[in-house]
Formats: sequence, structure tokens, C-alpha cells
Amino acid sequence: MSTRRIPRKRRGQRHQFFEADGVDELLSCVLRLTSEMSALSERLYLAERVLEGKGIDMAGEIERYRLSEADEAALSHERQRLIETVLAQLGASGTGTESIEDDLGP
Amino acid sequence: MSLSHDHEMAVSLTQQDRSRRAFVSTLRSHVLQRMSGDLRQHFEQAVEPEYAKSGSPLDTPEAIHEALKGEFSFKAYSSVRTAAQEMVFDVVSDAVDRELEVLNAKAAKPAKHGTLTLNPTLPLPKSVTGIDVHLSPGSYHAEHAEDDVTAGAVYDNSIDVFAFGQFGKRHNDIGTTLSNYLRLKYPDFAPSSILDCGCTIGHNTLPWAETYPAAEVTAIDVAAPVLRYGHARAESMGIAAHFKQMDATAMDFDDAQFDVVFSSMFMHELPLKHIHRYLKEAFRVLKPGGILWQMELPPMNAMPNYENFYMNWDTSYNNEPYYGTFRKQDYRQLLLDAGFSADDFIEATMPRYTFVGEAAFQEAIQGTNTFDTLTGRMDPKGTRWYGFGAWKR
Repeated sequence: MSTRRIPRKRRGQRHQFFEADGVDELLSCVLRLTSEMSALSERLYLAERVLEGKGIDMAGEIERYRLSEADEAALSHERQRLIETVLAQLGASGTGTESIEDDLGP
Repeated sequence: MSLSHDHEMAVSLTQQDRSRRAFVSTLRSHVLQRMSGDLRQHFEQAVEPEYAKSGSPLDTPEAIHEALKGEFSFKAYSSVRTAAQEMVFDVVSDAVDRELEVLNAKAAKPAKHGTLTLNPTLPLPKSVTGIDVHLSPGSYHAEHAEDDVTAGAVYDNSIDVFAFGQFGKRHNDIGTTLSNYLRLKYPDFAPSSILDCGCTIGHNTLPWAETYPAAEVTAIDVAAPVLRYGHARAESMGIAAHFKQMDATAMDFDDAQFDVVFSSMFMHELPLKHIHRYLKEAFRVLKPGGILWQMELPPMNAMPNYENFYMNWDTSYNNEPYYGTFRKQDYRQLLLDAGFSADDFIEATMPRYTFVGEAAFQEAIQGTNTFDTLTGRMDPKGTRWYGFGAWKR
């Protein structure tokens, strides 16, 4: 499996729609966070249904569970990925755009 | 895991991929329906009456844009729409990243049906390389490995999220609709050679091979990664098409080689000077008796002011800088300038063939053209595509 990561941020400045600096970016962060929350909620829902089908009381089992080193590493990796995704638009811009000015005329 | 599509270039999706994609699709649908509805309502109920009272009616799309720029509903719509557009590419890139080697290896398999001809020395136009078109990181030409298909894979997968099903299962409704329009409207026309210009991954090329099975279908684009992907995708579907890396504004083909020159959503991505060159080339490579037939955004002179303002949002904010200039043109005049005759110009608005079926489609294309809120826009209530072109005498 490839570990490559193609660029996630496009070149050039984002448009600013709200006058106050950072509002557009903050909105982007909130939406990305909501996306992650949505995916997580769906996964939890599926997990509950799967376990219920096998007669397992998930909430009780979670409280009794003790994390291993491998668990800690996996959760740490996922936490970092989550932060990178949520804060993607606050990172550095991609390399600058080429001028297209002379293409815009008739 | 499940597959993203019904062909071999499909990537495997985890449950997380599926959830994230579903969220962004839902978000886009919310922006394009609910938030755009709120924006229109605010315009009609508050902004427009206020300007009318002050004696300066908003009678151009530019005036509507200026008047709305400061309004909260416009800022919210625009900001969320931009963020959602960026998220489209973000959520599909994870699966493409994971399967980089697998996809590139699949694309390298020997072809059985069609061909792929690349030209590594072809100069790429600045309209492709200078900006990240549609806010897509790397645009459609960037290569991340040798013989890379990444840009094609990202594009194919992004349409799933971007179009929330409105382009049909194989994203081929535009090609299906436009080719069936010709078949049903001109039943005696039997093309033997068809060219698709600016084909990207060939999603709207392949339906031509299905509508006219006896014809040889060729597709050109300047970007190698989308052609490699499109070729492999067509091969895995068992559809013969010939993909060539070529610039539609300076084609290598002989004169009078094709019965149909087709394009979809292509001209509006070109600078006006390239549009003129492309149309002259299209005229040159068409056989006498052949047709230029293209799906495009409807011209501004046919659409209401608010629709023009709304549609032109993309040219201001979605890295499609040439689109506004294109829509201002008289499309008939563009074709006259390229050598076609005024009497041979045709244009049509038509429902989506894939969604309405042949009988309803046949009935609809007998009627008059309709330019309204559904024309040229993706809407589950019933998108209407716009096509224009001309016969070559």
C-alpha cells in the first residue's frame, strides 16, 4: 500500500468573503471537523449494530478495556491525521501561480 | 471495503472513505439547494426591492453580484461552497493515495480494444498549468510518479462527490444525452468517425461508442494522466476508444477526417483566443456533411439576469477565469467566424437522457428550447443540458 500523499492544498490565495481575517478559514475548519465527526458517528453506529448482533454490550466493554502500546500508537496517528485535516487551510500555500493575464483578453 | 465504481480502475473504499464522501456530497447538495435558495430569496425579497426603490434597478448580472457581495447570505453561501469544493478533492485523495501503485500498474496493462498515444513533447497551455482549475490541487496535468494516472483517478472519484449522482452512474449522462439527441433528431445521419475534444477521462466519450457502435471514436486532451486513466477505464469496460494527447487548438489530424466533433464543458475553460483557434480546427477536421456538437453552459444572452449572476459565480471564485468571457459571446457568431454558415447553426436544451428515458426524451426534443433555473445547472428536480453546434456543408 502506498504511503504517498498528493497535495491537498491548491495553489494561490483563497478568496476572502467575510471582511474579518480568518472567518472563511475558520468556517472551512468547522466544516472539516463536522465531516470527521459525521464519519466517526457513522462508524460508532455501525460498531454498535455489529456487536449487538453478536450479543455484546459495547458500552460496558469499553469501560473495562485497557489500551496497549499498539493502541496508543494507532490512536496517536489518527489524532495527528485529524488535526492535519481540520487545519488544512491554515497551512502554507502551494507554489505560486503562473500569470495568465495575457490569456484573459480577446 | 467496497469499490468506488463498476470498472477495474475503481479504488477500494473503506467505511471511513464512504462516510467522508457522503458528508461532502450532502454538504454540496445543501449549499446548491438550501443555501442558494436562501440567497435568491434574500435577493428577491430584500436587495432587489431596495435598489428598485432607490431608482437604480439591478439589471445586469454584474450589478447583482456587486449588490450581493456585502450581504451575509452571499458571504455564507460563497464561503461554504468554496470550503465544500476544496473538501471534494481532499476526501477522494486518501483512497487514490493508498492505491497509487495498483492503479498505475493496472493502467500499464496491454490494451485489447482501443489505443493510447501520448506526446511527451506537447506544450501544455497556461490555461491548464497556470491555475488549479476547479480548485483541484495539481489541476489535471500534474504527475506524481512515472506513467501516473493520479489526476485521472482523483477526477473520476471527485465527480462522485461533486455531482451527487446527477451525471449518472458512470458520469456519462452528458455524452449519452448529446449523442442520443443526434441519433433521434437526425435518424439518417450515420457517423463513422467521432472526435471528443478536451475529453479528460473519457466519461462523456464512451457513450458515443454505445450510441453509434459502428463508428470509430477518438478522444483528445492535453493532459497525460487523465488520458492514461481514461484509456484504462475504457479498456476495463470493453469499449474501444482511441485516446490521444493533442491540443484541440492545433490538431495533428488531416482535414475532413471526422463526421462528428464533440466536446462537453470544454470551451468555457479556454481563453477566448483559444476558443477561436479550436473552432477553426474543428471546422477543418470535419468532413462536409459532418457536425460540430457541443454541450456547454448556456449563453448569457439567453438566460435571465439572476441566473447569469448565479452561474458566473464559478468564474469569479472557482478558478475558471475564462468562463465569464465565453458566456458573453454570441455562440452563433463564434461558429460563423470559424467558417460555419448561419443557416447551419443549431442549438437545443434537452432533459437528461439517462434519467428520463427514450420516450420522454424524444418528446422533449420536439419542443421549443427552455432557458430557466434548471438549464445548465445540476439539480435533482431535473437538469436541462444546453447543446450548440453547426453542420458543415
